[in-house]
Amino acid sequence: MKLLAKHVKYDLLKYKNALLAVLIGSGVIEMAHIIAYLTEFKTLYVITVIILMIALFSAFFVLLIYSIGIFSIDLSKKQGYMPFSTPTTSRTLIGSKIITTLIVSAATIVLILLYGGIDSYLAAREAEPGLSLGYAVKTILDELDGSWGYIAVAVINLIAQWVCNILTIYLALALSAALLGESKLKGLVSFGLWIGVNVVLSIISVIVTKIFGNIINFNVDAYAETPAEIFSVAFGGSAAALAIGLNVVVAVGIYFLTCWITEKKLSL
Amino acid sequence: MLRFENVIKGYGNKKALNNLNVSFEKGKVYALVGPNGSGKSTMMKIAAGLVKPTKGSCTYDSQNIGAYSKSKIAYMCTEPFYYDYMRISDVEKYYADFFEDFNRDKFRNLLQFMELDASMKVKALSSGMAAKLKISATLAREAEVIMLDEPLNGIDLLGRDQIINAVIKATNPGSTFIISSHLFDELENIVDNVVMVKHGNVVLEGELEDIRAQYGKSISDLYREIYGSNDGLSNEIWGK
Amino acid sequence: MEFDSKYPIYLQIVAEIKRKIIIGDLIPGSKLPSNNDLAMMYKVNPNTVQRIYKQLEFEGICFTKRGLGTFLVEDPNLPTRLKIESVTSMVSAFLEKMAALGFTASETINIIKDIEGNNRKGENTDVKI
Repeated sequence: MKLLAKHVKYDLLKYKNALLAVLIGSGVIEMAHIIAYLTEFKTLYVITVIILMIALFSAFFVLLIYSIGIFSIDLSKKQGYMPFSTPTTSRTLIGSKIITTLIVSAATIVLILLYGGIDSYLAAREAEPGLSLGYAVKTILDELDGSWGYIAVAVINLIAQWVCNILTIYLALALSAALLGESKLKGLVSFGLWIGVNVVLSIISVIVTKIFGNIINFNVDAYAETPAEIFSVAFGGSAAALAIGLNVVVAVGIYFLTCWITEKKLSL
Repeated sequence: MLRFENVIKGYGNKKALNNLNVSFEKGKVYALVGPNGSGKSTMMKIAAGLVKPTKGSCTYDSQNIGAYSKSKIAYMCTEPFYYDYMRISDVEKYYADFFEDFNRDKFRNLLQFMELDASMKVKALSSGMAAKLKISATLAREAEVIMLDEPLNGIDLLGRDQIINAVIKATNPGSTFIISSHLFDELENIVDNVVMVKHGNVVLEGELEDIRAQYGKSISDLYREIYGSNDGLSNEIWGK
Repeated sequence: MEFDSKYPIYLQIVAEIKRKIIIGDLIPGSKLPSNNDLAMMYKVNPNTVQRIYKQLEFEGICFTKRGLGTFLVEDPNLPTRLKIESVTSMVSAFLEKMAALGFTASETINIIKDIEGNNRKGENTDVKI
């Protein structure tokens, strides 16, 4: 575990400049937005919120691609010598990269939610002057009451799918690195392999859904209040549960497959 | 003991290592000799766990190369491999973080010896300084096996003396050194055993002092004999 | 010290140590450098130094006291003994070389007298053979 934490530390360091750019850039724009709100500078107010959202969403994808690029480089060039010469198993090395990608994505999402929240509140105040933050928050929470189970399930499903997608990409990269080494075709082959793996996974999930769909009782209309009921609704009667389960199993399977390929077949 | 058994490593149609069988014993200094492309670097990379053999096995202490062997084997490769953003002090922290046998005092002493400063940025180092950094970090690891791939390349004469001295100082009965180099004149005095590879195979191995006693040959002589072209005419005249 | 890498280096150092004993740089009974120190002095591998001391011990020139180090034997005749051994082998080798050129031992002795005579007279005439 300690080794994993150390590797995550060093993997995160590679994003230092990128993260700082996102943090500072979005901070500045948000500042400008708030100032525009306070000084009632309409044009700037509208422009900044549009720019901010575009910037943050692009940042999310750019960081994702950056992360994939780093993974690819670490698997095939001399940069990979440092981590791979440490007495660490491939499981830990790849685990570290996944965790780093998740942390970086999460950071961007936190920023989106934070600034999105602030900007929505400011926009709501525009419509209802004098709207207090406490009242706005309570209204939202009341609306969501009763749906927590579904929100939780939806979020967990989203994360599971997200992790699964990243792992699929990593598997494709590891496969192509193991097969081709330093060849120029590697990018193309990675892409092809990624599509291939996704196709295989889709087929598997269709088969599994057909088999298990008849066993699990779907119940999407139940209304629940207490946490226990929420849990039972979420996990006892929703198709999402199957999807999550599938994603988790696949993710774990792909993870171990990637680790095996990296440990036994991959030459830098 | 580091052992290669029937190791084959192929790249496409070419075989970098062709049924290689060799063992490296504890406590000795080995010279790994051979021209470019004979498989020396590939051998070292396989022992370091950076390259996987196509067939055959490489084991250390009877265990397959993996996390355990990496904790006991230190490898210095020919290419630069430290992250660009690092300073020498960051390199020290990295080694200290991941290698239990890394001796920070020894590293700092070696840095002083090589006239390097801990605040220097890795990407600002000249090739000679980068090479000295690599060696300092590798020798500061009190590993059971230390593999140096062309440690003297790109370094001036005085630097080479410094490095040979550092290696002599680092030699101890518990460590094995495997040094590959073209500049084996400078290695002649510090090497115990010589392993010569050609086309991915071991063509000669033995204790150097025995070879000298029996045949009156140096590494250079052996090199010429094994890799040079055979000029039968001059052998006749000079009756060697 | 420059070594000839065609011949065992440890034997070359053994010869060097013997020379030092003969000329009095090393005194019988004195302590010899540790393995690592000798290795650094001659820029060789400490494993080579082990061979050196083993050889010297075999020839009865030194001995090792565990934990204390390696010492030259206390024999005050040691330098003389070594001098005789060394001179004998040098001259034998020389006579062999002269024999390879076709000279007998007595012919060699005459040549030596000639050259020595020339040196005394300060002449530079050719030797008579």
